[in-house]
Amino acid sequence: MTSDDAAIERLVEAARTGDAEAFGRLFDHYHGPVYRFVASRVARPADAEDLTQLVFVKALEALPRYEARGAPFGGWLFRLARNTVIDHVRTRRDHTDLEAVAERPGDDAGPDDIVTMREALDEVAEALAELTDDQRDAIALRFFAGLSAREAAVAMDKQEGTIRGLQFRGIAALRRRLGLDEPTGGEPGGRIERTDDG
Amino acid sequence: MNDTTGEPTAGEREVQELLELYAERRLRPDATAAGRLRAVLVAKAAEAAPAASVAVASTGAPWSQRRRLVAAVLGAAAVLVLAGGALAATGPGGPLYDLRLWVEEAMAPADPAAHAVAELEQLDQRIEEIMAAITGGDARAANAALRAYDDELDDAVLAGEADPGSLGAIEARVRAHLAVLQGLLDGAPDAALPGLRIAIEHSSQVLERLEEVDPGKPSEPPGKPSEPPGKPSEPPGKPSTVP
Repeated sequence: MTSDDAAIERLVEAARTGDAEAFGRLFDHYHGPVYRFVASRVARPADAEDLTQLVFVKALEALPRYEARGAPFGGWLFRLARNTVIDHVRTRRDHTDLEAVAERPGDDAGPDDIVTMREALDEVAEALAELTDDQRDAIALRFFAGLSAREAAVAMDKQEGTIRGLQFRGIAALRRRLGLDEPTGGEPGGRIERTDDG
Repeated sequence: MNDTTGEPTAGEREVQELLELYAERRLRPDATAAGRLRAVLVAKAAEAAPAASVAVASTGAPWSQRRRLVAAVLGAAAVLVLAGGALAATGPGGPLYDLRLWVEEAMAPADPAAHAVAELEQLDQRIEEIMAAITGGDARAANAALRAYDDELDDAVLAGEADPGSLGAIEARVRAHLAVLQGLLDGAPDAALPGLRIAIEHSSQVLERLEEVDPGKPSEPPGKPSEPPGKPSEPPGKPSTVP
């Protein structure tokens, strides 16, 4: 367990015993990662905000049961987040609202830069959408949320080795789809191959 | 990944950098919304603190039969909430619906004018929920949403009194909602009719009260409602605060 992990566990224990500010500090630590994970899986920023809010409300309600599960808090919280997203996607027809995509241009961005950047990010979004669900979750948990492989494994209820495999295949598929290397096998045309891992 | 060192290869690093850029530009949360949510959650955590303390303190102690029963019921409820999913849980009649209403109310801005706007949005959401529940034949959800609408009406009037400039907008909205509620009487499930009639009566009373508070406002021409039944004055913006 790292010093960060130990600090998180202390905050969790304090929050469980009624320290509201400890829960606030957990929120500070995890809000950005949870939002990024959720936003990577739903089309509209408004939905991402609503679902992130719901994740933390559910976490607050369920916190007394955390210790009995014996999982790292990050993994436990992101399992809640992942299940919340899955429920959302199942129960409504999600569609990409292109006008709602919140673009944050860089400081030095001119009109041409913005167009180029938008196109590049659109390609990343399309490439991500072509991954299998499990590959996309593994990539989002590891790179957007910054979880360790162990935490991602808890969040996805899989073995660490499986997470590393999903991440490896996901990255490889993204490289092919984004034209960052020549495909050595798989399907022609740069289409991301569907594996049986999700 | 390099098989010998375990380090990412150049190609992998390039993808990772693109992903980081994507997260930075497209997945960045709104700091203001996050701050408001934090305040609500900390308040909620403080409210729940005594119960949490008791629950933790009792861990490991011998439990009476009654305690075991309570724990079993709470556990079952928690499983139902988690298994039922986010949308079912927070929708009208769902186990988290009241909590969602509480969060919405707690997150409403303090500024009187902004608060009045937030109350109007919440009224719109309740009407949308009522329409969805009644047209879907779900009396339980309809009654939950109707009760919430009743409560919201009073909050909206209070918000209007705090911000007299918004009284006209509130009155127009309630008038449009009243027409919608009246339009729903035909075809509503029997079990939802009492609640629907109460909401209609309450809306009428609120309109009278608003006219008293704002007597200078010209009244609508007789026999000409502001909106046709079954159609609110404008579509509510967001479907819900918590889906």
